[in-house]
Amino acid sequence: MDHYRVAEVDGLSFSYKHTPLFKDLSFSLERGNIYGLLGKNGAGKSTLLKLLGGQLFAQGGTLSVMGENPQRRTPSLLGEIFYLSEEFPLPRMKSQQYLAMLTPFYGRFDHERFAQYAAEFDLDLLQRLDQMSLGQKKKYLLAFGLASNCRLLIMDEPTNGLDIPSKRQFRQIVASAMSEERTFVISTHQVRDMEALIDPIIILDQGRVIFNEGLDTLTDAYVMDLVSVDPGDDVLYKEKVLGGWMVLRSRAQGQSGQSLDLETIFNILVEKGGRL
Amino acid sequence: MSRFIALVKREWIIGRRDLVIYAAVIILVLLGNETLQSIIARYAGTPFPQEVYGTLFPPFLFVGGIIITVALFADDLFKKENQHTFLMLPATNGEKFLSKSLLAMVAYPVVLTVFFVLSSLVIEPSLYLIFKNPAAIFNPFAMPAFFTLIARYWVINSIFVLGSTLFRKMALVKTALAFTIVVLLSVAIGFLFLRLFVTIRMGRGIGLFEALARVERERLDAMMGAIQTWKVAGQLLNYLIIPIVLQITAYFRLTEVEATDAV
Repeated sequence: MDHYRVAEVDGLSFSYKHTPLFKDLSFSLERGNIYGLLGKNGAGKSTLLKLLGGQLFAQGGTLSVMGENPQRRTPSLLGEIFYLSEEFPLPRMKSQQYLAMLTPFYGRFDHERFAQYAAEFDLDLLQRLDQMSLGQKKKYLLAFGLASNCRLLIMDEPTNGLDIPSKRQFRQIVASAMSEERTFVISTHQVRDMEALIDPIIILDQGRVIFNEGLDTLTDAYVMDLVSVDPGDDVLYKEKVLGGWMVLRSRAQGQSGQSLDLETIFNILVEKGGRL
Repeated sequence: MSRFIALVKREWIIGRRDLVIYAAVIILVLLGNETLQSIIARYAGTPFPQEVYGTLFPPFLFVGGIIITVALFADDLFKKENQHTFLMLPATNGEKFLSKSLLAMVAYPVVLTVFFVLSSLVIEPSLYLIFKNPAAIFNPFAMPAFFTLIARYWVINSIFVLGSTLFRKMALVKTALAFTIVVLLSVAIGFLFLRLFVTIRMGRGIGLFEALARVERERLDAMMGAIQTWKVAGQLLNYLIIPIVLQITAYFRLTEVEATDAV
C-alpha cells in the first residue's frame, strides 16, 4: 500500500437488506488532506463513513484503512480512528471523568491541546456532559477527537447544531489541528460552512464516487459569469438567478470571472454525472 | 496503562456513583438490622442472634450481583448513551467481554465479602459499646457452604450474563422469565420421560408415585448408588461446564452485537 494513502476502497459493494447502495465503489484517500464528502440525501455518505470506521461491513470488494481491514476492528486501528457521528448522546458525567475514562485508550492524547480547544470553543468543562446543548456536545467531542491525535478523523455533519460563531471556530480549530500525518473526512450538506476548509472533495451519487479531486482542477479550468439573457445551450451549465443567468464556461487564457463556489460545483457535477 | 486495566477503570468510572449508593444501602440495611436485633435482645431479654451477616449476605450477593451484571453488559451493548463509545473503544471484543465478566463474576463477590467483613468490624464494636451485646464479626469461612454459595452465584450469574447480551430491553426480567420457562419445561419433560418409563416397565394404570413405591428397596438403593456415582459429574456440569458454555455463548453474542446491532 502506498505510504501516502490512508484508505483504499476497491470494488466495494454494500446493501441494506434489499436496497443496494454501493456497487463496485472505488476511491482512495491520501493523508494530509481534509476531505469533504458530499452527496444528496440517501447517497450513502454516513454509510461510507461507517464502513471506513469499521462500524459496517462491506459485502464485496476490498477496503483498507491504514493498511488494515477496518472490519477486523483491531485495537491498533481503532486507536487511530476518531469517529464523530451525527448523533451522540454523552454519558451523565463531567469532563474530568470522561477524560479519565477514555484517554487511556488513546496513547497520544494531548490534554493541553484539549484544554486549549475547549477554551477556544467556550466550553464549560465543569458542566455535566449530558446537560450540554447539542452544539456544545459536538464541540466537546470535536475537541476530544482533535486532541486524541488520531490519524483519521471522521466527522458526520459536524456543523449541524453549531451556531454561527461556532462554525467559524470549528473551521479555525480544524485547520489549525491539521498536519501532514493526519487526514480528516468531513461529510456535510452545509457546503457553505465548509467552503474554505475542505479540499479535495468527494462526491457520491447513485452509489458511485463521481468526483474525487482538488477544487483547483475546476477553478483553474472553469469560470462563472452572470449574463442577463438566456445563453441557450452554448454553455456547460446555467442556472436562473436573480438578475439573469449564472453560467459556467471554460476559462480562456487570462479570463477573469466569478470563482466557483462549492454549492455550484456540487450541483453541476451531480447534474452532469461528475463530468464537465 | 494496559487496555484491560483501562477497561476496568472505565467500568468503575461509569458505575462509581451507583456503587456508592449501593454500598450505602448495604451499610444501612446491616446497621438497621443489627440495631433492631440488639434492641430486641436487650429489652425483650431474648438471645442475641449471631448470624445476621450470614443471613443477609446471600440476598445481596445474588440480587445485587445480578443487577450489576445486567447493567454492566446491557448498558454498553444496547443503551444509546454508551453504545457508540463502547463500539469504537480501541480494545478487542475479548478484552471488552472479559473485563465485564471478571468484574461481575469474580470482583463483585470478593468485594462484597470484604465489604461485609469491614462493615461488621465497624458496626459490631459500635453496637457493643451501646447495647453490650456480643460482637459477631462476619466470617465468611464460618458460613456453612460459603464456597457452594459462590459457585451457585457463578452459575446463576452466568445465565444473566448471557441474558443481558441477548435481550435488548428489560434483560433482567426477560432472563428470569426465560430461565423459569426452561426450568419448568425441563421438569415437565423429565416427568414425561419418567411416566413413559414407568408405563413401559410396569404397564398402564399404575400411577407414578405408586410405581416408585413398588420398586424394591434393594433396587432403589442400587439406583441411588448409581445416582451418587454420577453426582460428581453432575456437579462438574452444573458448576463448571454450564457456566463456561454460557459465558462463551455470551462472548459470541457480544461479538455479534458489536458487528451488527451497535451501529
